[in-house]
Amino acid sequence: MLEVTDLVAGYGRSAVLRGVSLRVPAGGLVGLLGPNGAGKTTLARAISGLLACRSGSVRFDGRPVHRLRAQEIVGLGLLHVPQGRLLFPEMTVQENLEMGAYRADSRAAVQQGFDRVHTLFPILAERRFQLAGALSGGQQQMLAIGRALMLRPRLLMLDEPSIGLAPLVIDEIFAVIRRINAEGTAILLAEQNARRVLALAGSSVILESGRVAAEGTGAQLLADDLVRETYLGLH
Amino acid sequence: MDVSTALQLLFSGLSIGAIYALVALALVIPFKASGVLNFGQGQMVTLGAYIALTLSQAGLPYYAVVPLTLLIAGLAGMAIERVFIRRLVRAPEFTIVIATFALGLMVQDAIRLHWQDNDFPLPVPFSTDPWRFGSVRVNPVFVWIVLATVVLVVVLAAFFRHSRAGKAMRAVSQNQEAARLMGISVEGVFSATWAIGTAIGALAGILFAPVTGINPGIGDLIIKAFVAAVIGGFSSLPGAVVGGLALGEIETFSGALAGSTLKNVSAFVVLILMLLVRPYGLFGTAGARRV
Repeated sequence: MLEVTDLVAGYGRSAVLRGVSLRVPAGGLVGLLGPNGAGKTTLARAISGLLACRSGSVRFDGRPVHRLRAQEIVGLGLLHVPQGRLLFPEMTVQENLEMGAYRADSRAAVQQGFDRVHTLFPILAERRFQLAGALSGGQQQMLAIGRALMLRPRLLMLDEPSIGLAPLVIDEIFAVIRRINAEGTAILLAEQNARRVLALAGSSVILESGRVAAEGTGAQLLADDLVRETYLGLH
Repeated sequence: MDVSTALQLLFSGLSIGAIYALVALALVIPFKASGVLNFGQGQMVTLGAYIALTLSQAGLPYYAVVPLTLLIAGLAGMAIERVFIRRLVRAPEFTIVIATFALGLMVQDAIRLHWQDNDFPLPVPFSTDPWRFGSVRVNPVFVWIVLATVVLVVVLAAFFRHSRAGKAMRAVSQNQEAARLMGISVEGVFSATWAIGTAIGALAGILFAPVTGINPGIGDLIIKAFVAAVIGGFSSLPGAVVGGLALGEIETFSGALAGSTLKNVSAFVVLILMLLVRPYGLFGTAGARRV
């Protein structure tokens, strides 16, 4: 479904990604691991069109999307929940969700989105008239994910959804990610929290200094001592 | 000062304040969305007045002149954004300041070239004889200014609160990247806010024209609008309105109490006091924004 080939991208003159290839199959859940600065966020931004690709290609359903602008890529059903959530802090929870349905073609579609998000995250229904900036960190992450789910994306890219959250809240977020995936949405999950991702993902890719250092299923990666110790920090 | 004089001053302060409020809104709306402050906004007011003058001289009635002028000014604002500002969004702040300033000068001098420094009246479709309420005299032109401003502010508030496009503009002003990830065309929003800002500036020009007459300097009130926007915090629409009205009252009353010399100084005294005491304005929040 998503096919990234030899992608090179970066900021200014320096390339952060130096030729990255990965695939996310339809309905799959792929983990994207690696230390800080490995290029996970840059990769997510290049795929969603926030950052221009220098060379290589990104295909979604076989269609090249690396020359499209971010707002056009969204329309294809490829949604990016960025690191740091990037909510609209002075808008209410409900208005943030409405923005997630900005490209909806009917009121019914917006209502369906609300129903779905409120089922996944009941707290967002309760807090709907609060400003997004006044929510707790966990609730903000839920809102960021919910906002991306409003129009039933076909592929959801999550960048560090567990960052700065308490373990119980992370459990809740990961349970929802599992559920969204089980309902048919493909997921690319960038995380530093390797253990949790490996338990959840069908396969994972480990980035290191802008290149793919290793890839495979959780079992394969964990069986490799070098990968365990060098890239995953597990013993 | 007796009560009827005070009431009369209050009302004329309100109407001049309404004009300041409009122009302050015209400054703040595109600024909030795109981060670009239009230093040529005063000349957009002038442009609006001359568009209205041209249409009026072509024989169109006032009630057709007003919406047509707003439409033409809006399209002009959109064109300015497309042709000039969009290419400069990534330029250093000072480049943008100079560019918008230069654009304003070009507009003003083009107008001066064609119409010279003459004063033209803009006829209004109602009698300008003052209405008398007891000993209070009210100029109908001022009533019209206040009414039109109230209508515009209510329409704007509803637009930003309830419409899809208005919410998208707020979203862009709060986080451009997130807005893109929602599928919002940030460039489209920039254009739209420039259209709105220029149209509001033009409305101020139309409303102010019967008070001062139309001349190439009608847009000089931009300086007062800057002060009004600073009072309001520069990033707040209610702040721009409150700042404009407050400045109108301060000017009018200081003029009446201490003479017309002080009237013109009072705006700047307020500006300096405001920057000393509350640099973020009445409604503003701290935070670095590009100017």
